[in-house]
Amino acid sequence: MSVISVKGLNKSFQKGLGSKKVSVLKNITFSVAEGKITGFLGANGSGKTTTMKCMLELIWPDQGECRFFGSQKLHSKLWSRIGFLPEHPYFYDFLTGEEFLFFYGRLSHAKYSKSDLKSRINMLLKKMDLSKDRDKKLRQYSKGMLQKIGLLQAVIHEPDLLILDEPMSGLDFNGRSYVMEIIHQVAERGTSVFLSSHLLHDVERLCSDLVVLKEGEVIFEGDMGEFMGAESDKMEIIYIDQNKADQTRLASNLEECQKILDELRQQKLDVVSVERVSTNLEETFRKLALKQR
Amino acid sequence: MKMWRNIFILAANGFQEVIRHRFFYGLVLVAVLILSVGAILGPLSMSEEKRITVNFSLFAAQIVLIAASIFFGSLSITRDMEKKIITTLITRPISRAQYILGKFFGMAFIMIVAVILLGFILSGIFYYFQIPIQSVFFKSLWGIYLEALVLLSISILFSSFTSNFLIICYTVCFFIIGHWIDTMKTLLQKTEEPFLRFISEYGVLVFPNLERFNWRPHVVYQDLVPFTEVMFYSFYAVSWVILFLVIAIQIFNRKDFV
Repeated sequence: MSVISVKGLNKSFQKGLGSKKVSVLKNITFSVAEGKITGFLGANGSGKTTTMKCMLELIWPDQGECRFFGSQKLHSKLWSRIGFLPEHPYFYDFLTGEEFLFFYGRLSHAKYSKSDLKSRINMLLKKMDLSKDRDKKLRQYSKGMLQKIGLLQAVIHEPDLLILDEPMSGLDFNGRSYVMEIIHQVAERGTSVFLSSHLLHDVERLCSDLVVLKEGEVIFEGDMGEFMGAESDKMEIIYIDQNKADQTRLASNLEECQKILDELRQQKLDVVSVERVSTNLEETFRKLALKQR
Repeated sequence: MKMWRNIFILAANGFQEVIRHRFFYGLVLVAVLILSVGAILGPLSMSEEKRITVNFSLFAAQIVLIAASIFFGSLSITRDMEKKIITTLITRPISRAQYILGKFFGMAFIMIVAVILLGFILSGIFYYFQIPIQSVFFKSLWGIYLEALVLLSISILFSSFTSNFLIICYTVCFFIIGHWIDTMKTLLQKTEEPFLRFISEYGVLVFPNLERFNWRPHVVYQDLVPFTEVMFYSFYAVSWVILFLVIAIQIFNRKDFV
């Protein structure tokens, strides 16, 4: 079952009076599988945040629709199964960290009694290393602390689906580790995670699936391995040489690969496998998704 | 049931926000200062000491409450939108209508607390100057509260589509027109110009007549205000509040939070 199913989303904005409408999303269609961590990638201005906002009905699309947990449209009960962290979150800074999480816990119809909710807040604050700052007002929190507590408000009610827009932005190495740990933990519990990020190294470590946007269009949807293999022309040929153990030869493209295979056949050597060589996510992403400048 | 729970949680949060806001304490200070000026002005005027004290004190209470309703009414929603706090609120099991109602009731509760506090201070001043406190005094305070509620709903309506500065400007316009409707109507009816006569007949219907809630002169002259009149104008105020909030919710429901 897909937890998110987006079909034919179109959205355009008018930038200034009298100016032409600019199409931001062009027939966006993809789905997010249940129980997986799916990365949502794209260059700046490719439409990631707009897509997320359309999915969550913060922006009304011109066309298209989004369904959750099979085929359900968003309704009040469904919202309590979803957690959301926006990009650059800003919260009520007159609240303390503990009050803030309590407010969002109650607002999310968290299935806890008051005392259980308080102990869950304690546990979450401890996990994010924010226990000592629980009584500080949010206006005294640093950007990284706000990002961490922002993630906690998204998971406070144990949602089945977590939507995160740039959850690691503004965090140092430690902060990113805490956030990744929380994401891993909620995913292990069965929560499906859909996250956008510019930090491709972190996406590579976290996600199993990817949806990639380029200039408002989906250019890839599928497995991470498939994405990284898709753009690589390098081929690895493994063969057995009677005198030696498994030998490997690299071909920089298909033509060269064919030549090597012919050569090996002439020498009567057994070919074990021929595989496309995966590159890292950043390299593949750069090739595929970034605009030509 | 859950709908009222959501509204209550948001209203309680709004209440907490106001009482922790610096402007609130500034307003309390201003209220105390203006009321003190009223108390000092009275004895300076030889023959009309009591009349001036009553009039000025109630006027000061009205201004303080209306300033609070316009300021907090405009601030609470626009700040949530500008700082995008709203994106984490309406992606919860709460509707946009519940959000608006939560904000309104939070502020309405603040107003009632403020009216009670001002009532206590005014009672102290009246007691000091040996001015009898009659039921019309409470009716007058109730009138100030009704006016503040109407202005609060107007500022919430404008919050759904314009900026902070313009919300204050528009709401102040409604305040001025609302108090001058009767005078304008009388003046415009004397003209021969058909357009101005049309405005005097129908244009004024767009604005709530805020002078209807002004029972201050009755306190000054110790007149009676019939209970039926208070009930009627309470209903009049609530009708305007409902109308403004319904329009605000309709606009808010269609709004994109980019």
